[in-house]
Amino acid sequence: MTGPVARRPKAAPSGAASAVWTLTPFEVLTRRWDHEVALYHAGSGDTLLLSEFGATVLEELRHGPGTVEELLGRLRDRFGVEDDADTRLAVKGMLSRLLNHGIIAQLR
Amino acid sequence: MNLEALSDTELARRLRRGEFALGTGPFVLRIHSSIPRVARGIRNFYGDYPVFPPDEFADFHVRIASPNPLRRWVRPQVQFYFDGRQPFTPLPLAHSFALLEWGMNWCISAHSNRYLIIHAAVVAKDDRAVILPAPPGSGKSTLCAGLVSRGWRLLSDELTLVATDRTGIVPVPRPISLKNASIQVMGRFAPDAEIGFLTHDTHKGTVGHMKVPLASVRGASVPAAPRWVVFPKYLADAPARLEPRSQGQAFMKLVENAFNYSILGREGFDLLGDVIDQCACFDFSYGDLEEAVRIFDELADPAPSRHP
Repeated sequence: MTGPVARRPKAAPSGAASAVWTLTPFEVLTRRWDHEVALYHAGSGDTLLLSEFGATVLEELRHGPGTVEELLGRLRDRFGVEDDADTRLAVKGMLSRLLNHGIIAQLR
Repeated sequence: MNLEALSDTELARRLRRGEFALGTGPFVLRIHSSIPRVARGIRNFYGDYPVFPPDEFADFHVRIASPNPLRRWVRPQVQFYFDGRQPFTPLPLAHSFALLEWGMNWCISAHSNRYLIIHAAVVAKDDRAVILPAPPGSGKSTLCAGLVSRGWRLLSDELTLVATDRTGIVPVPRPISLKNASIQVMGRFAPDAEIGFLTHDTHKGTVGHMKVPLASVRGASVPAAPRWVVFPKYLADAPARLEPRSQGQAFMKLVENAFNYSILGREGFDLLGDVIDQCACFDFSYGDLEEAVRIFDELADPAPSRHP
């Protein structure tokens, strides 16, 4: 794949707050059981098990790219998730995980 | 025609000439060997299995033979050949039949991508299957042998074949490999079970194979629907405990235990997801085989009388 979206960049998502995150252009399949979601990423061939929260972050990225702040805002508006330090940490942790598997990439 | 219809002489002749074609589940294996212990093992364990004419198409062509002429006489060894290649290191001659069994498992697990293949035993009651994935030493084969000796149908003690055409779990019932203390445990638990000659000093210790009951051989063409995934663990003297495991966690464990999940890619994900959709999932620890079998019987048949 070519273009502005880089797969598996080395940088962790703890950089600039203005970093915009997007799904890489590969098929992502999901399967839900109760509060867990299994994910298959066609780009890497990796399979992950996500919590309900992790799956929600992924779903928000399916709706469109966003910064950490934008994602937190969407989670607050759509699900009433509190925008506190713990949530912020959880979103960043989830982004790291998705980044490491090549599921998301930094747009800028 | 079943193997029992072949005389010892004819079996040995076909084996020697590479014309012996054995049916096991959906596979036909062509076996070539002049080693008497191989013939003896096949005779002991596969008497009820179908054999095919020498020109029958075979899925796998395997050979058990000495790696070089000298090795017939000096510390004799045997080698497993698959399509002329030698995927394993040679073993002592006494391990010939065990090597054939391991080699046949390898052929299927490494080359049959019509199925999602999980490293797990699988048994069924009324065509409802329980998948038993577990690492070596967890008591999986012992539990499997115990269930089979009490009326459960053996689909496999080692390889769970999930058909990619969604027809269910396809049986490939072959002798159950028992190791070390399990051999005595099964001897006490099911005195009628036929456990053949023992092979000592293998990399797994002492190995003995238990003959597959006739009903399981006859059911080898009947798939079963996945209904339970149970992760067994033997704990000496521990009471049996069956505890739910989340479907998501069970899914991930099956991914880890599947030989060809990554080869099948998206299809593997969908197929395994379909399996988990149909299954209740549990962790199971046990220290007594009798109690373990009773709990599985209750799982399959939760009769009201058992739970007033």
